[in-house]
Amino acid sequence: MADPIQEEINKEVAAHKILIYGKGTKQMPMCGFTRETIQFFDKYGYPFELIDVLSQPAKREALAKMTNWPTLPKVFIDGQFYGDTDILDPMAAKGEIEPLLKKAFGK
Amino acid sequence: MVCLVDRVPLVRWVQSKTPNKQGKPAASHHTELPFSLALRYSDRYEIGETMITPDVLTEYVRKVMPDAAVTVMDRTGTMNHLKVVVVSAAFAGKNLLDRHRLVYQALDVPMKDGRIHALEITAQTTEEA
Repeated sequence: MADPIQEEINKEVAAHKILIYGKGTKQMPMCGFTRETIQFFDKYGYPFELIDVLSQPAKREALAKMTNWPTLPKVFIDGQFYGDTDILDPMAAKGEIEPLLKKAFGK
Repeated sequence: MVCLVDRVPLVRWVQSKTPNKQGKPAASHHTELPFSLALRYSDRYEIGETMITPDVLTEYVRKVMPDAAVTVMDRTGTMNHLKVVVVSAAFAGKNLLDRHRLVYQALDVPMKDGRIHALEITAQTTEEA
């Protein structure tokens, strides 16, 4: 049987076209970089989910293993892992984000 | 850009309070404190002996990428919120995610022991720089 934490992550990744694992909530991000990531997606106007894993070390560990990426926040778009704003900002500069989100939301 | 404050285990601080019988610091144990506690102690922890210098950081990177040119920028004046630019031939043919994974791998030790709290990475090949 699959690990329940991994199953929970798989479900969340499948359920949200844009998903951020971070610290805190949209209203009260607990980390400047989580806030930065929220601001990044606010610009595009598509709905996105932020899941707070601040107090869940086992889930953070599972996420780190799954993505081979040690840090938060972690961004998934349409089920694919895209790292953080260090990856997203250069993609945005090349105009790659808008079409990616359009495709994800079937527009 | 990422922040690592939740991973700061305060290893050294804890160790200095709990020497073993020979009076030596205990072997490296990873005592992860609850976030609230880590945050409360992080002020005294982060400034001072746990600072990383650009030279030491560059050494870590060069262990994995011997040809790397490394530029370190201090974002907060405390040398633990850093912007790091790495230029290396090792990035050729790798996408951005894998390039960053390589840098994270190289800096695993100072990230885990808390010397680096936050890291913004730029990873380029010589041709791109």
